Amino acid sequence: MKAESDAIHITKTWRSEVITVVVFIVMSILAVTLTRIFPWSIIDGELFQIGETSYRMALPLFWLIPLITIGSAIFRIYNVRYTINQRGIEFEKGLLELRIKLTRVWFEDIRTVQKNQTIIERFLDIGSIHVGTAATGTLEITLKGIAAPEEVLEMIQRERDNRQKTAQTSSNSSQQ
Amino acid sequence: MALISIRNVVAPFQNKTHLFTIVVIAVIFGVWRASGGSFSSRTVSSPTPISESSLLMQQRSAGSVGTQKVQQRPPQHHGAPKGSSSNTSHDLDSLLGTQAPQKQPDQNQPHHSALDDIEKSLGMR
Repeated sequence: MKAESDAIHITKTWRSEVITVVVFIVMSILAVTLTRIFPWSIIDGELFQIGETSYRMALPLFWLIPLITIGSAIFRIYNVRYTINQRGIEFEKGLLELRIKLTRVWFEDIRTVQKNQTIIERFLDIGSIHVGTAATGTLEITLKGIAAPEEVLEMIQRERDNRQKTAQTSSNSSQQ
Repeated sequence: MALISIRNVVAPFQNKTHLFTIVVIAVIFGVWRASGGSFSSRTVSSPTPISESSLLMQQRSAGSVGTQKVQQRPPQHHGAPKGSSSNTSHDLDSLLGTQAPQKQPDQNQPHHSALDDIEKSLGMR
């Protein structure tokens, strides 16, 4: 979590991609071994030429397997951003894509907050938080793979309760 | 705060997520190198400019050599009768497997190399 001018940026943790990381390590070892066994899998050729200097590159094809594996994990981590500010929760998706989707939910509108954790996620202290509003019956925002979900859940609930109390007292005073 | 400051440089190393990403990218680079990946640059030598006179000289010398070669070429026997004596004996020998060992070039004979003329002109011979 990163606090920046009364806003907290919550990023997806690497712990949520633990399976992908394990697969990446296995694939890396496999790629090195397979390249040694099959040397023909290395593509060698000229990339470009600037003046009289020719730039060449040798690309091992088996290396693309761990690259794609870890690349997908990096994409999933940096493609989303969750922000909790004084007004509510913001969920931005598509930071690495051409289209960005921004979903904003005010604390006053939050109806339900749920936490989802698998057995592995409990060991790693990560999880998902689902936020639902009264406007729609479905869940509006899902904060996937965040660290310390219990703390985040309590913070959202506390803020929601405070806002709802403030709104109630203001409505009561206006009625009197 | 200036754009290029120590704080901005250090910032990625303070965040665990970014730090792990840096480590992962370093590992993927290591795997690339271990797999035999490489990036190299070579200087391609361009042909040196040749003056017209030297080009003409080269053409002349090449032409003279060509004519010499044509003149020195042994006469070809066009339309030679099939099954000439030499060919027949050679074929017979190869079929019977009794081919006589080929004559080795005589070591005692003075060999004429391309450097003979130069050696003669220098007075080495």
